[in-house]
Amino acid sequence: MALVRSGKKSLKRHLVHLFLLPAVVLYGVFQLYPLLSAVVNSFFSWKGFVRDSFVGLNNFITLMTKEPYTSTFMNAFKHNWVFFVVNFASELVPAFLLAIIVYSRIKGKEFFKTVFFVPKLLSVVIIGFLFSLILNPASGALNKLLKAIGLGFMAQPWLGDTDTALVSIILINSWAGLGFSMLIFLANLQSIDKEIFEAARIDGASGWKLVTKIYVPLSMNAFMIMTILTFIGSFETFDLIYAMQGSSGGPYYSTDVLGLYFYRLAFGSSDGSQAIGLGSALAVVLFLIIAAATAVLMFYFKRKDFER
Amino acid sequence: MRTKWYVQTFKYAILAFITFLVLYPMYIMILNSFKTRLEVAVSPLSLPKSFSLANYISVWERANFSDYFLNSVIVSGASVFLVILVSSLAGFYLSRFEFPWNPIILFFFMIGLMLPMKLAIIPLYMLMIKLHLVDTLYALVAIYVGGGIPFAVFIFYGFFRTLSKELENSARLDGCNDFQVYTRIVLPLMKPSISIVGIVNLVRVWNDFFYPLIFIRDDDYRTIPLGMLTLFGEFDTEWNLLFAGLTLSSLPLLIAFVFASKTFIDGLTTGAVK
Amino acid sequence: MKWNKLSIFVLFLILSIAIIGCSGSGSAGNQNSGTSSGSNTTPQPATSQPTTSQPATPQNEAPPEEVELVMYSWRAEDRGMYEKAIAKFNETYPHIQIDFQPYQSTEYNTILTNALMSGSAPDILQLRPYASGRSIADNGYLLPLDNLLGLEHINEQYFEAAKGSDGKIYGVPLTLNSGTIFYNKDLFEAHSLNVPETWEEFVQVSQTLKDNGIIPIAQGGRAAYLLSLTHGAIAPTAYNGNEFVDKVLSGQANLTDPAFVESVKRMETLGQFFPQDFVALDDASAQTLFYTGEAAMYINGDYRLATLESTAPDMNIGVIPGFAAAKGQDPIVTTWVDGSYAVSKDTKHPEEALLFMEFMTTEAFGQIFTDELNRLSAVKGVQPKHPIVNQITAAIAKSTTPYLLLVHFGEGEPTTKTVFENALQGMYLGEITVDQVIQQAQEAADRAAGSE
Repeated sequence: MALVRSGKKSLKRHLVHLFLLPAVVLYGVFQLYPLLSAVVNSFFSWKGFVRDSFVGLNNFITLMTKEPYTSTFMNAFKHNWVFFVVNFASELVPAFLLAIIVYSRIKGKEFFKTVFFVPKLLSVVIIGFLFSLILNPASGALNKLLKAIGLGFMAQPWLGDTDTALVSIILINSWAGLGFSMLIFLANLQSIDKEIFEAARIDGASGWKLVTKIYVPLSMNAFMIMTILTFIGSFETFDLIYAMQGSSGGPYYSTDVLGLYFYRLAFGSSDGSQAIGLGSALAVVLFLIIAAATAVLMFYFKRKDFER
Repeated sequence: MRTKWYVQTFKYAILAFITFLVLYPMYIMILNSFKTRLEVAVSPLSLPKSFSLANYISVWERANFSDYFLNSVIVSGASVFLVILVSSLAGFYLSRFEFPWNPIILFFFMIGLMLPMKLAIIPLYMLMIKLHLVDTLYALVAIYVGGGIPFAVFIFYGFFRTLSKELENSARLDGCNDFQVYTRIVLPLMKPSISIVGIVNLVRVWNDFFYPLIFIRDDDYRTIPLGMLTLFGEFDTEWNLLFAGLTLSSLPLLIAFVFASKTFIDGLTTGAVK
Repeated sequence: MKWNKLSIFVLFLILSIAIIGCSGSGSAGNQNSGTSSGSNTTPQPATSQPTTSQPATPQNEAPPEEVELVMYSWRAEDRGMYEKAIAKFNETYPHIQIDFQPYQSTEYNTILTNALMSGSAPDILQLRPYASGRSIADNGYLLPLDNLLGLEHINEQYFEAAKGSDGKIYGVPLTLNSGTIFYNKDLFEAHSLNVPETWEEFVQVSQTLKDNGIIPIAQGGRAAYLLSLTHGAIAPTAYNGNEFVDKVLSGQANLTDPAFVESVKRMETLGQFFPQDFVALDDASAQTLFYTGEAAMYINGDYRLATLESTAPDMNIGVIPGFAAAKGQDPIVTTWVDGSYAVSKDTKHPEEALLFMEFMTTEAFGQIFTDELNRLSAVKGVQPKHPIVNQITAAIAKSTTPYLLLVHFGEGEPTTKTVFENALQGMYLGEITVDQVIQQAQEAADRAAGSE
């Protein structure tokens, strides 16, 4: 405890609580209270916008067992998983490798760090718009390029085909986050004692072996953070898909995700009604999924840390 | 060293490729913002014939950009400032004093870190109604501050824990009162943490369009991202203006970044690692 | 020690949930409502200035106080028309200022919902038609308008779009939309094509166009509603128009009826006449194909006319209002009400708001509406000046049928129409067959009916 001049003791002690108060109040009122409200809302039925009667777990049961809610949920849920896996593979893995490259002996580190970071500064709306232009089947740059280099047969309606739409969007998401992820891994590498690398090199490790036996284990901390962030991001994802495909996750539900489904339930689609009870139930389910997965991931990574 | 030349070439090749990938969409956007409407339709991928600012001027006038810009600055500035202020105080408190409720408070903040706040949008809206804050910038600032507190508190908390008490104690012994200890010793050391929190929140708040979408209806209070959405509605066939508008919207953050890139990068990466 | 902290936490959590649960935060009708209290800053140029000392109609006892009404709409594009209409209204009622506040159409429902839910509703609001508007009415947010003066100026059938489940009228219908086939007259002439009157002729014409390297129909599929709209335009003669609609309404037939299946098969047939990869094509890009002459026809609502004409003023545009069952008969035009205007129950100025509603039933308003926007006014007796609008109006007067999926299948979450149009997308992508489209749609309809 800090040394305190006696006499002013009791006043000081009470004043000190003021340090904490604003944060708690602002956070409590504008974050925690709505969150808890949403949870409470999920236990009621709703007549449009008016809270009706207490229905216990009914909303959850409906969401999970009645059609069409169940299949929409499962479809969206599946897509969230795909999002996570593909995002991990297309963003984190390349980011890590890029970090290794930038960390090694090359010129222009600062330049590359700066450039790679730029996409993070762009608004999601802009990113979505620009890429929908690039991926336009007839006039977009990508297909034009493919045709120009003789790979015309690969030209697809990327955003208009059920097989490619979701992956395309995930790749766009990775594009936006690649630089940032790389910088995280890089910062992590830079914080490691250079002597470890020297020792490994003297021991004869090089190339791929160096990567797997040294770089990867030492980056576990960063991997844990990035994996958790990626997971949370994949299950919360809404902005980019909404900007590119609207709230219904077209074409033919192939890009529907839980965040989008929640939006539809809570606010209604352009000609649908809303289901606030179900929407809140979905929100709670999402909360639980994310919390559970975060716990599992942290546990998994902590164990890996010990094994080191 | 013994790095082989082909490995080096390979590395640079990859870096160059990624650089191209990263910059290409923006290149398109900026390029097309200088073209006339016809040029954009006919030859979207080539260099513009002339670099006139006509589109920019047109968009600025027609789309009320000065208001949007001002609003974004106000909201971002106020939010960032308040988050730093409030969270640093809380972080200091939590790390320095051993009150029994501290772990509970920390846990509550942690919940906010993990869970998506968008899902609580309806109760949030009703709350704003009760407080008569709808369609004001106050609503946005309150939400952004509330949302930024968890992360910021953890950053400051972690920082303060590593801060050696020796320094403070010796300063006190030298006769400084608590406030002087704060300003002379603690504050300067806090700079990296402040920049982390500041930058993370700045980027987050500036580009957000979800909350302005829900809470702001009056055109006078729109922020830039929301303004951009209306651009799509109004100029959906005037591509050249649209691109100019999008570039204008991205410009502030990009310029800030150019001036402070090192701070940005260091801030954001260290922040996330912590 | 840990046990203590844990129990404190759990206690706190329970307490806070209990407090929230008991505080009844969900009820709407919070009586802060009506006109926006001071959150408007710069007066929009839309609100007109009262003309110099025109006496107000002598129906007020005292000199009327200045009243401002807030009016929500999803048609920002129509601002010019509303300014003129409000100016006209102010000629008679200069003391009633109207603040026209439009929002982007895609966000309008959210914004309106939030406003109503939170008790800060506008005085006058544009009401989405049919099911969407009905739910707002049923939740008690609107003033019934059955006794409004001037209702007789509007065709009775249009009120369906603005009635509550209690049968009362809650909105003044604004405009009629029709599913229209626009075509490029010059292209037709260049290929010596006659304007098709029936479905069969339409297919033939399309085939000819295709054989000549022209995309017959500029159709986008990115937004699924475009597909169901096209279906609505070409379908009526497949299932024999109003006869079928009546059967559906009386429960004698449903979507699995072979006649309706036939209409979906027509959509399948049209697939070959759409641009390549059209499911990825958005409406704006489809329109571009029409402007550049790469495509000869464009199917959408008649309201697209204004956009088409302003973007391609030199193009010779013709319209096919609908197909006829057989050559020589009247074409059956697919129509639906686009929206109506309603008054919020919590408005602080009901009399003034109702006066404006009354104004919207007058021919004066209808004429401004039609002439400014080249749209079909719901008000009787309005003669559109624009030849195409006139052509469509005349056709509607002879034979019209409702846009079935929008008008009668808009219930449920998701709505049957949504399921149907998404299924059409799936069909074009080869994911499902025509029969599966029907199946999905009917299942959705059954669910919607069951949950009422």
